[in-house]
Amino acid sequence: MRIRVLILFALTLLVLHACQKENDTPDDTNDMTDPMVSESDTALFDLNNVPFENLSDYHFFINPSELEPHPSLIPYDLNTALFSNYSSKQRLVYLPPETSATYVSEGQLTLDFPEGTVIAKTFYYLNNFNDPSQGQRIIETRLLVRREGKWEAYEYLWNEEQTDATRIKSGAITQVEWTHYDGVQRNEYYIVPTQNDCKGCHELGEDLVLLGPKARFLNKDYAYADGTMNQLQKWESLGKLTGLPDMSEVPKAATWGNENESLNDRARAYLDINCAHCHNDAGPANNSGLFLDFYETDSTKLGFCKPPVAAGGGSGGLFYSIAPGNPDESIMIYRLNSLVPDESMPELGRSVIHEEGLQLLRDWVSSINGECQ
Amino acid sequence: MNKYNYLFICGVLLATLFLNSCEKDNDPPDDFDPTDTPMDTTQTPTDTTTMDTMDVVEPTWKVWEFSADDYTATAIQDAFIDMEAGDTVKFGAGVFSFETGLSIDDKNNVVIMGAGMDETILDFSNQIDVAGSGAEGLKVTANNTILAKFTVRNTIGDAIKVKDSEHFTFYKIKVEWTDLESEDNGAYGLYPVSSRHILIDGCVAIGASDAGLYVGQCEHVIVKNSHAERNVAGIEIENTKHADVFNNTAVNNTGGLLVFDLPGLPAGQGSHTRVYNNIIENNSLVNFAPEGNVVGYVPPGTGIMLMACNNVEVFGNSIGGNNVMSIGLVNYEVLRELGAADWDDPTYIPHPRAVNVHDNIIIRSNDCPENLNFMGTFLTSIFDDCEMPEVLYDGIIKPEDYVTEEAMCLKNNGPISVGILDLGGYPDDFTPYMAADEFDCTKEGLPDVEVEAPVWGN
Repeated sequence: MRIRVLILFALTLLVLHACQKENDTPDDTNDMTDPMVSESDTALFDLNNVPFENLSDYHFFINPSELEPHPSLIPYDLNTALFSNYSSKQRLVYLPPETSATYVSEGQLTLDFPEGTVIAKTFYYLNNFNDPSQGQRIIETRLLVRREGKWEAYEYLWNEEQTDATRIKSGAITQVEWTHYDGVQRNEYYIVPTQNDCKGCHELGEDLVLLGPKARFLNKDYAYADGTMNQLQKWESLGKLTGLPDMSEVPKAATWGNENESLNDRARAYLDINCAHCHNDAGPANNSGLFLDFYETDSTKLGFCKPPVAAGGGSGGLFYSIAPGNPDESIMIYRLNSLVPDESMPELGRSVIHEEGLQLLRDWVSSINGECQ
Repeated sequence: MNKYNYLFICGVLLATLFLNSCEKDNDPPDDFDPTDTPMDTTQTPTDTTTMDTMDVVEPTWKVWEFSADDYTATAIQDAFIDMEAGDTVKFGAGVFSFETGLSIDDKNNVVIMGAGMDETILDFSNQIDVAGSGAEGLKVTANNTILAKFTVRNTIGDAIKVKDSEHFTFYKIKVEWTDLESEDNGAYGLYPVSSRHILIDGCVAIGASDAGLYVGQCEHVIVKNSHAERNVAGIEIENTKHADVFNNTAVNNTGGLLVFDLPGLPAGQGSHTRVYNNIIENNSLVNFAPEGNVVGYVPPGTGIMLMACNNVEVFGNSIGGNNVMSIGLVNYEVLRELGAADWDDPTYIPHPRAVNVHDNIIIRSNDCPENLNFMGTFLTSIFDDCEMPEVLYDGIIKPEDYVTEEAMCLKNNGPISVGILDLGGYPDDFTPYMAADEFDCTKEGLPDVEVEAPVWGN
C-alpha cells in the first residue's frame, strides 16, 4: 500500500516536473547556418527518460558488438589517456541536434558542453594486444549526461553475448584475460565502479566533471571515415564547437608514448591525465599539497624534494614525493608501483601496474637534476 | 524544481519530525550491558542535557529490508544508492558476506540498522584484496544519519569510514578483526573524519592495527559507553575540537586512549577534549601497527597519551596496570626525532599545553613492562625497568617555562610520581628528574560538549 502511494506521489511529481519544463525558457540555441547532416535532426533519445535500463535504448550503436556508432556521435581520442588496467577505450560524444560545445582551455576544465550532451566511454579488451583481428571482449560503458547544468553518471555492464549492456549502480568485479604486448597471457581482476565511486575521480570542487575532453588532450589528429583531421577543427567544421581560437593558441598535451616528444612533456602529460584530477588545488587530494596539473610550475608543488603530508603508510618510508635523479627514493614511483590498497596510486581504477607508464616516470625522475637538503 | 529537490524537501521536513532530537543524555541506554560498566568514580560531571524521548519519532518512510537467508550484495549496495531521505535500511539477524566494500554517498536522514550488535554481521572476510577497489568496509558521507546495531567484521581497510558528514550517530556498532594482533588488519575501526556533531554510543572495537575508535579532524564529538580492546590504540581523538569521551573502557590495547594533534592536516590542531569516567586498564598489547603509522611509536604499557594537544581535561578515570606510563604528556618533537614526518606549518605547536589531570585513580601494577617497542625500551632504560613513574612528561619545554594559562596541572590523583625526561638536551645533555611541585596547580574545568546528533529512539 505504501509503495502504491509512493508511486502515485512520484507520478505526481513527474507530472509537476513536466509542467515545469514547459515553462522553462529553451536553451540558448546557436545561430548555426549550417547544421549537421540529416541523421542528427532529431534527438536519438528523450533526455527526460534518462537513465534507460539498457544501453540500446539510447540508440548510440548501429552494430553494438562491433561498437559501430550511430553517425551522429563523434568518436574522439586523447593525446594521453588515463591508464585503466590496459583496457582499450572507445570514446564517443553525442551533442543534441543544433547544439555545440564551447572552447575552454583553462586548468582542469574541459570544453563546455551543452544540455543533453552524452559522453559514452566503452571499456573493452582486445584478446591479443598485438593482433586486433583476434577479437575483443566489451566490459562496460560509462555515460556522462549533461542535464540541468550538471553531469550525471550512469554505468552499463555488457552481457556475455556482447549484444547490449544493462544499467548497474553497484559495480561489479570481473576477470579479464588477454595476450599482452610481450606475448604473455595476462589474467587480472577488473573492477566496474559503483555509482558512488564516480566522483572519486570526476569531482572538482562540489561538481561532477568530465576528465578527458580538455582542449589540450583533444588537440590531435583523428582518422575519420572521410579523412584525417585535427579533432577540434573537425568539431568546429561540423558546427559542434564554437570559440576555437587560432590553433597556434591552443595548448597541446604530449603523447606519453611518443618518443619524438620531450621526456618532460610526456611525463607531465601523463601526470596531468592520470593524477591531476585529484592532485590539483581544488581536487580531492588538495590536502596533500602535491599538484600535478599541466600548468603547475612550482617545483615543490610538483613534488620535487617535497616531504609527504598525508601519505601515512603510503610513503613507503621515503622522504620525498620526487627525489631528483632517484626514482627508487621517490614516493611517486613507489606508489605507482604498488598494488597494496591504501598505498597504490591512483586510488581508484588501477589494479594492475602500468609498467610502461611507470618506466616513463622513472626515466623522467632520473633525468631531473638537483639534490634535496 | 525537479522531483529530487521536492523529495529532498519532503525528506527534510520529515527529518525535522523524527531526527530533531539531539544528543541530550549521558546515561547509557537501558539495554547496554558490557560486563565492565564504568565504575562511579570520585566525580561525576553534571549532565546539563536531558533526552526528551517524546521528540523521537520512528522513521515512517521507506524501509529496505534484507534477510541473511536471501540477499545479494548488489541489492544492498543498490539500496544504499537508491534510498531517500527518511528511509531505513534494515538487516535481519545473521551473516551478510561481501566481496567488495559498500558505500553510502550524499544522503540525508537515513538509518542503517541491524537486529543487534552481535546478531547482524556484515562480514568482509572474503573482501577481494585488489588495488583500486577501495579497502573500507563501509564508506559513508551522510548527514542526520544513524548506524545502529550491527557488526562489521574483517575488512581489508578501515571498517566504517564516515567523511564530510554532520549530525551522525554510531549506536551499538561493533567493528572487529578476528585475526588478532595482525598488521594486516585494517587501520581504523570506527572512523569519523572531517565531520561535525558525531555521537559514538555503546560501540565496540577489537583488533584494529591503528585505532579502534578513531575520531579525526572532527568538531563536536561524544564517545561514550563504548569499549575498545586489542587495538593498537583503543580510542584516539586526533586534531579534533570539542570532544567528550566518557564512560568507556579501553583495555588490553597497546595504548588505551590517545589525544593527538598531528601536523600538516587540513583541520589544523584540535582543542577542548574531556576524558572522564573511563576505565583504562592493562594496555600492554604488543604494538602491531604497520611501519610508518604514527601510533607505531606508542609503547605497549600506555594508558593515556596526550600529544601536542591543548585544553584537555582528564578526570574521574580509573587508570590501572599500564606499566610504561599511566599518562604521558608528549611533544611531537619526540616522534619526529624517531622518524615521524616533519612539518612546515608555522602555526603548529608540538608541545602539550593547558592539560588538566585531576581526581583520577591511577595505579600501576608491579609487573615489568613487556612487548616493548623502540620507544618503550628507551623510556624504561631511563628508569629502573619496573619502577616507572605513573606520569611521564618529555620535558622539552621546561615546566617552569609554561605561561600560566598553558600550564599543565596534576591534582588529586593519589600518590603518583611524575617523571620529567628533559629530552630537550638529548642525548648529550639531559637529566631526567622526578617532579616535585611543578604541576601542582588547578584549572577551571572545560564546559560540556554540545553534540547535535540523532538519538536512537527505541
